[in-house]
Amino acid sequence: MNPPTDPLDNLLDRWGKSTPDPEHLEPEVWRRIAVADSPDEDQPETIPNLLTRIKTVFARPSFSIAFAAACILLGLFLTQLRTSNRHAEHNRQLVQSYLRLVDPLLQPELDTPSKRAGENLDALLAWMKDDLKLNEQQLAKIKDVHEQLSPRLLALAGQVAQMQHAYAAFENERQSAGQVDFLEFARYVEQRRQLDRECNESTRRLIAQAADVMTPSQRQQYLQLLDPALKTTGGGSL
Amino acid sequence: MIPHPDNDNTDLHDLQRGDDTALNRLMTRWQKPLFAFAWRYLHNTTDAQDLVAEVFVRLYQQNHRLAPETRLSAWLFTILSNLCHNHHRWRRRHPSVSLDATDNHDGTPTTPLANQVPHDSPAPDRTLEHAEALTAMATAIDKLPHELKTTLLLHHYEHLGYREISQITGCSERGVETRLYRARQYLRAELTPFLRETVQS
Repeated sequence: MNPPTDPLDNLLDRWGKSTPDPEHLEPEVWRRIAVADSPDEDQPETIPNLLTRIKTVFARPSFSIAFAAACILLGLFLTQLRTSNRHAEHNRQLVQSYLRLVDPLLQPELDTPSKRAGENLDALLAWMKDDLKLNEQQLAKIKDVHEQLSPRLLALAGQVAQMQHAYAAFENERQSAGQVDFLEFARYVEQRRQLDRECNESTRRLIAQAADVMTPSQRQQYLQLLDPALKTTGGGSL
Repeated sequence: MIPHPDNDNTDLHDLQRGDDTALNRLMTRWQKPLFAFAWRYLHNTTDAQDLVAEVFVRLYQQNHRLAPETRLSAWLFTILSNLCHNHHRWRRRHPSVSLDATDNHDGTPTTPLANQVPHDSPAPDRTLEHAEALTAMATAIDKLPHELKTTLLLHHYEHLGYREISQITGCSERGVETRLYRARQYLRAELTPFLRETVQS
């Protein structure tokens, strides 16, 4: 005896019979396969296509490793370049500081030249020692040269400051009174020329004495560092 | 009637060796059951044909990834059920009017008109009841969650066993049994008046 049929199964069977027959799918399937196998080359490059290509390329271990290595090398190169630029800028600032220290014509810009000179000398000599690779003996001699000439340089710097004040007084008189005592101004110009010559001579003497302590290669490097800076500050070539 | 797996494995082996005609043999063998499943899932002839064609395209493109002992029927139904699920979700977000079905006013699909036209029916009222029952069945099946719907369709119409359905749906055989029970309970609840008429008739 067969078990009674479930009415739900009867209804499911009746509904199932209503399924239509499919069309032949072969042509459509082969058409899609052909389209997938031969992408249209005339089609413009789209972002999904580009992403797929990138994905495919990066799927190769050799390429991804090479790309990572290139990125690391580029990073190292950029870091080195930045460090080098910073070092060059630091050097330039130190050279300018050194010139202010040894050139009386530049010192009046500072508020208290003697104090600044004392503070800067040790720091600048430390830089010279590192940059020019000076030994302790050379460093001691160069420090000695600087300390010996320092009072003279400071005195000249004081005179330069006085001359600048005198010039300011001439200018003030010209603007307020509308006239200048030309004889007195001519004497001022002559004094100022004389002072500038003395300043340049003192600076050259200090640089020459410091250079004498150095080896030829150190000297060449030392003068190369100072030469462009001296030209820009009006000190002339060494 | 489910085709014999040995034929499938032979054709898959031929396809993997580069014999493209093997795909034609597989299509001839499998397009009808696959289309029937897709149609019952989606209630739309065009969409069902589109998804079945896509299944065969994927079979061709991915045949080298399949192991020789792969049960092809399970693989085909797995791909198709996933495509149906995705398409059904997409269609819910992008509603459109099906050319296969009449408007049911609530957006649910109905039995195609062609299938509602009586052939040998003796009485118009019986034909109308019959059509209503089929429409209600289509609506109830459409409302089933994907897991329950797939399980019910594979079991009732494709006559697959619990083990094969568990491979397709990715759950245990016990889970398949539970899903089948829940699907039938849901249909019973939705179709109560029509089931009574069926018994009476």
